[in-house]
Amino acid sequence: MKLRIWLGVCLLVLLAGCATRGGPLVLPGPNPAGSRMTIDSEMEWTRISTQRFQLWTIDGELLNRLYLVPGVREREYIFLGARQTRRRPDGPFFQPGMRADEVRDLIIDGLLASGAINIQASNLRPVDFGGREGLRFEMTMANEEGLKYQGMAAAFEHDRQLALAIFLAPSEYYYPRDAAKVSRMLDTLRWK
Amino acid sequence: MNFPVLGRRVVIAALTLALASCASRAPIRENAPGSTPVAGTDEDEIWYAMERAERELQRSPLRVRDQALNDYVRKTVCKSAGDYCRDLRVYIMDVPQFNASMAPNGMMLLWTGALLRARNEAEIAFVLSHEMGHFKAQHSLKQWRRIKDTTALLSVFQVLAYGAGAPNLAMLGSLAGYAAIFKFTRDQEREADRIGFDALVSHGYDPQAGVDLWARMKREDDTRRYDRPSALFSSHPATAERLADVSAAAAAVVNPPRERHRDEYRAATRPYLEHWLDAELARRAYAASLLVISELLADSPAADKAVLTFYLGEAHRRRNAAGDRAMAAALYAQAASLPGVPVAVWREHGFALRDAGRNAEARSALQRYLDTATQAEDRAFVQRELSKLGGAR
Repeated sequence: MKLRIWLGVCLLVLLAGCATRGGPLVLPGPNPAGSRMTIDSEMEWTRISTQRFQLWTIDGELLNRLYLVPGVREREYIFLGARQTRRRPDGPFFQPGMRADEVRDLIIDGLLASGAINIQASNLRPVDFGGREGLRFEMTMANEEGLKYQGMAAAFEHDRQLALAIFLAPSEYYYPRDAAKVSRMLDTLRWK
Repeated sequence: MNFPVLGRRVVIAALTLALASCASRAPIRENAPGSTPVAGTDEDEIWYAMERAERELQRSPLRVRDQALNDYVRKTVCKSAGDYCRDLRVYIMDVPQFNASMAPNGMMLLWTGALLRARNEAEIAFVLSHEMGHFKAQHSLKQWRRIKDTTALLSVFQVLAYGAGAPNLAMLGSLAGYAAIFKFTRDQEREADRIGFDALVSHGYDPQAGVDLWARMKREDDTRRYDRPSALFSSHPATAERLADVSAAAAAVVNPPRERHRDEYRAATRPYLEHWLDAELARRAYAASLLVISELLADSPAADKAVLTFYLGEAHRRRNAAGDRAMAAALYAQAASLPGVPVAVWREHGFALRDAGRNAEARSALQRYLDTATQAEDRAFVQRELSKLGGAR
């Protein structure tokens, strides 16, 4: 009996951990984007939250996805989940103080390692995120089946960590439909 | 050994199935140029599956579609393929690792990582002739049958071992079976090496080209600090063994031909050099990339020195281990003094000068980058950095 109670408590704690980063529906207006990161949304999204990142989508993950990471830590893989070690020194690992083009290369190489093909970045530019110097750029790519995607990324450093936002959608219909709104949204990323 | 009645029936059923699968095959046909499998055979089924895979491959975004490069590679493989040329379709895939493969239906794949690493036509012909060796000897079919046989026997063995209450023995048996399959593929690789080498020499290529290529591959293999293949469960013989074999074979050729076609190879591949180097660096396997690029630099004609010096600097900068930034800075400075300097040198040279506190020279280099690369995608970023140095226009 005691074991069942403990299991129930553990399950509740785990579920609570998933639920503390905002509800599943994102409404237009200022929204938490994990930890102390915020972003102003211009439309409704469905949100999946974890302790380390949020994934927002409108029509489904393959048709549009906004990936929000409040903090990629020092020597951590750009898309989380692994760390640089002496044995495995190479890979797209974040280091504080990286140049904007080096952060762009981390994101591109991380996407390549995730299976994206023929990635081309464009228009790397400096952007101020509420007093924090950061960067933005756009990109084109294809998935393994040859479906063409477009995307945009924003990133800035805080507390020796990297805040990161990446939006990806198919070039056909979905990206052009939402790109202007999402672009304005990325400019509102802030670290409170 | 006593088995329960049910166990005995299972054993008999498994043995019957295994024997049936072994018995349902046609003899290996004579693989004459232009010939195809007999309908209804297992080879016919394999070809059918490969043809479907090939149709997918033809649509792959990784496929390099440039006609000139495809024509050149096809011409090279056809030199040694002879009458088999009509059976081949060659696909160049934009993948930065060293690899090539051959499907039983004549679909040959060559990765751009191999094209970057080869120095001349003889070396790439050596790779392609090896793949042709697999085709001529019908290795895929033989391998398929071996896997089928081994799997069937393993199933029987496992049923017997589990039935006898020896699960650990069943597991050991599985490992031994899989090791036997890998050994079989390694033997096929050795046979393809021999067939490929003979074809290479008979068509007038320098046999030493194979030695040079494998020696380079071995040096690159030696840079790997992780993900090293196990000798027992590896599909290919160790690079050291292949190097020894090809060295011995080359030494045994009396009056060897000396043709390498270096100039033709450079003319066909030079337009892709920067793209392949970018892809090589994006792998983020810097120990290997530093070796590959430094050896390319050592072997390169004068016209390519600036580009390769720059990319060697890029490998150091991206790795960013102790001493790498200083090494990169020195290489950028060296590249900037060479003819045929790529425009990106001025950006990196500028940043290196800035980091060294040489701001006036940094401004000059960054401004030169902006003046030359008028359509650079990172223009706004470089302009901002230049502004910080007090030099934006």
